[in-house]
Amino acid sequence: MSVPTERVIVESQGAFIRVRRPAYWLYVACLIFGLIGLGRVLSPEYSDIAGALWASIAINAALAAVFLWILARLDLFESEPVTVRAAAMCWGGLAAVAFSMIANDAALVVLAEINDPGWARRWGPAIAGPLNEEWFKVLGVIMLVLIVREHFDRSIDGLIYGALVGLGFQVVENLTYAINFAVINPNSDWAGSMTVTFTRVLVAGPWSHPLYSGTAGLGIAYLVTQVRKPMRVRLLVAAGLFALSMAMHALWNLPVGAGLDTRLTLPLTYGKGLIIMALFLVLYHFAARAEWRWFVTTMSDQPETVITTEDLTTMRSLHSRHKARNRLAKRWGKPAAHLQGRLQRELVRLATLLAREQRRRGALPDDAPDVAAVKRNIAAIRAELAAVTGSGDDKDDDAAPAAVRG
Amino acid sequence: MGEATIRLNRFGLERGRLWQTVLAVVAIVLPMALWTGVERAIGDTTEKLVPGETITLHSYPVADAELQFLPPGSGWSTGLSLSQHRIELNRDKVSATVQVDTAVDSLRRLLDRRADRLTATQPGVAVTNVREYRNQVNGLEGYRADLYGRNIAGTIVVVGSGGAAATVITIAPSGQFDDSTASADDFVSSFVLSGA
Repeated sequence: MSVPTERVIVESQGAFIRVRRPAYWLYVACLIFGLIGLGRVLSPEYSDIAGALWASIAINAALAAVFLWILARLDLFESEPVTVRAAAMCWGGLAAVAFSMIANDAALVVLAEINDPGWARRWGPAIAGPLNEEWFKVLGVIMLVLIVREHFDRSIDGLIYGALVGLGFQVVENLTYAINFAVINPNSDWAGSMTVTFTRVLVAGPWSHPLYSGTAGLGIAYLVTQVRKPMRVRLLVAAGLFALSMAMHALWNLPVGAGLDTRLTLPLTYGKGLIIMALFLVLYHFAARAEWRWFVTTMSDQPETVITTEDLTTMRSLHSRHKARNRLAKRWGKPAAHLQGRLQRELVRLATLLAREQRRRGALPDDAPDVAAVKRNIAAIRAELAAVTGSGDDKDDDAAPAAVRG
Repeated sequence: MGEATIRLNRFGLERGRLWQTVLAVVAIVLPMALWTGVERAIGDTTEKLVPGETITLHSYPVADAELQFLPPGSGWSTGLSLSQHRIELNRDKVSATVQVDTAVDSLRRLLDRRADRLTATQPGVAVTNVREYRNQVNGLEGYRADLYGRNIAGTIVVVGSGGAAATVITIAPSGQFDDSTASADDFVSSFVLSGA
């Protein structure tokens, strides 16, 4: 049950290195600064706590893998280039963390001086953290816009890149905590590093930096992609979402009443997290709905041989795609469901390529070699699917476009 | 493939994009410059301790242990610190770092860990002559070791009771630990350690 499919890669498509863009060099300089800054923090401790540090790295890598998987699934109609995704994470993990350390340290001293150290210890993270960290993280999304603007097609792209910046930040921040706690623990490096790593992954893991910066990134992408909307509206949305990202971060960093019973502390902490998660999911819901509308518009000119009206409906969400596969699995077995999954992936790919060609407004989209290749893949998968399900391919090659049908 | 023409400036970079990068530089530098600027504007954050002022530390991250102590003599100062479990005091060229910990399994192990940390951050310093220790004033027991470096000398003492432990590290330039300077013993003598 294997349909041979082909993949045409247009050279430099998805590349991040843009030596002609000034912002690219600023990006590189910031990463170097971040590397040096983090190296300074890590180097005196490294030889002593190498084992505990590597264990924490492994756990955080698992956390990152889970988040990467989730983020790839959230991106319903496009897979962002690996290099740009990596660049987003690098900004979050290196540049944003290093800049934040400088700004936060100074901010906490200022807050302690204005009030007193105890007050700064308690309220400082809820003030300095959101102000500085969200600022430096959202700058990562802005840097990506300056370097690879072509990868920001719709608002959801900003959400994904923003979340990746946040993920990089979270992983490296967790590691700095692991190092600090390994050093101060009176008994062992492992006890200190593992306790804080598990606490941060299990308690803060689900609703931390990726959610805040995803929110801010959504605003930046809205600003640069929704060009038909008035600039005033776009600026307001971007500023509003940035403020919301800071508010989410501040909410999480708010101190839970000191001396409260653990039976109260735990629900309060998770309650804050659930509020943040709910806010993010509402934003994602709107962004995903806009994504589907874009998909329908992009694919509306395609004939029934490429995409059917039913396909347009089932592609709406991961849930509806899953249901469509399950339906086929129940009736025709797993191979049919597997083929349906591959068909869905090719349709997503086709929409992305068609959108790219439509932006260029040059030759006919079908002339692009990668578009033609994906269409051949779709035809091959459909033929195989027809063979599996026993339904003949009775559709006319020149069938009416989906929009007319719909 | 569509083709696009880009115009380059004298540095070989795309024309018309430099201003965006300059704005990005400003946006990156601004918060750091702002906070560090205000921090410097505040001035010296060193605080002189009033003689007889008791210092209280709480263990971190779990605040189950508490240490109260009185710096011996006068003239001590401390920099602004957000740490609740550790304080560094200075008098002339003598420095004393006091820390409290909770849930300590072994005082000897704690001494080794604090000594390792010290030698890792201050190359050239060696920890020698580790021995058992008992303070004559308050009876706190633990371990003590001597610190030797090219230009410095000092002491590290770890004492504890019931899981709570306190560490004091005193360091001074070689030859300055005479009768006029405070020794680790003087610190430990004022320790009131509670919790577990």
